[in-house]
Amino acid sequence: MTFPRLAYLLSRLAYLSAAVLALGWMFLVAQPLLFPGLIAPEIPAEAAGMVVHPLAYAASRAVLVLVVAPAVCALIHAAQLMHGFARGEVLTETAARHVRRIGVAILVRAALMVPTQTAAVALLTITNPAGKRLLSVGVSSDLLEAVVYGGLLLLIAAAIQTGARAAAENAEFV
Amino acid sequence: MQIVVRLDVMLARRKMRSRELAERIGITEANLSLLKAGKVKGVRFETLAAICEALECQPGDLLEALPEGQRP
Repeated sequence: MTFPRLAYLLSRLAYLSAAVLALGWMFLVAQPLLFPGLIAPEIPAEAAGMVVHPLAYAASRAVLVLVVAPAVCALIHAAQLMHGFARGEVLTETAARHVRRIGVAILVRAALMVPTQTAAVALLTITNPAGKRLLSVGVSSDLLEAVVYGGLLLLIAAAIQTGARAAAENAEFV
Repeated sequence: MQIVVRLDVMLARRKMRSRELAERIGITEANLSLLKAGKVKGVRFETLAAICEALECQPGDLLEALPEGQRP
């Protein structure tokens, strides 16, 4: 498979992934309110000694927008970047901008990962009586990985920008 | 100092058209036109050598250094 063809296919896949992610989030938010019996929670709320209000379910899922939105943003920029690759636009300022924005989106997502999880659990249990409400704070190696990859993409964007300047200068020579 | 390209003079001396030269040296006519007009940042040695070979001349026949501000 040629480079432009692969880039084109990956670009389509990235657009599809962004759409699936956005629609999936919308469905997850709407599901407790519209179809409460469709998906059972992993641990039945009653078994844990608490009753979760559907609105609390929806709110806890709605807050996930804080990590879903940067992911969708990163995927859209990845799709645009690869669409540009498919057209032969590799060392350009536009490509550098897309890579930089993917890096920023990954870093934003990493920064919001912990508070989002905390908020989701807090919202899920907010309707519980006192003593049954939960506040969870968790840090995993995923966070560190995301920070490293996000930072790496910022460096790659800077490298592409340097390459783009060199390519533009080279184009002025005959 | 400014570098002035005298390619049009050499083309006239050799009675060669721009299109023919472009074909012989393997660059586009548009790029050759930019070179003739001096609207390029630089010329590769490879291009210069090809032009010299096609026009049977020396680089000095194609390029001239003039004081800044002097009209070519």
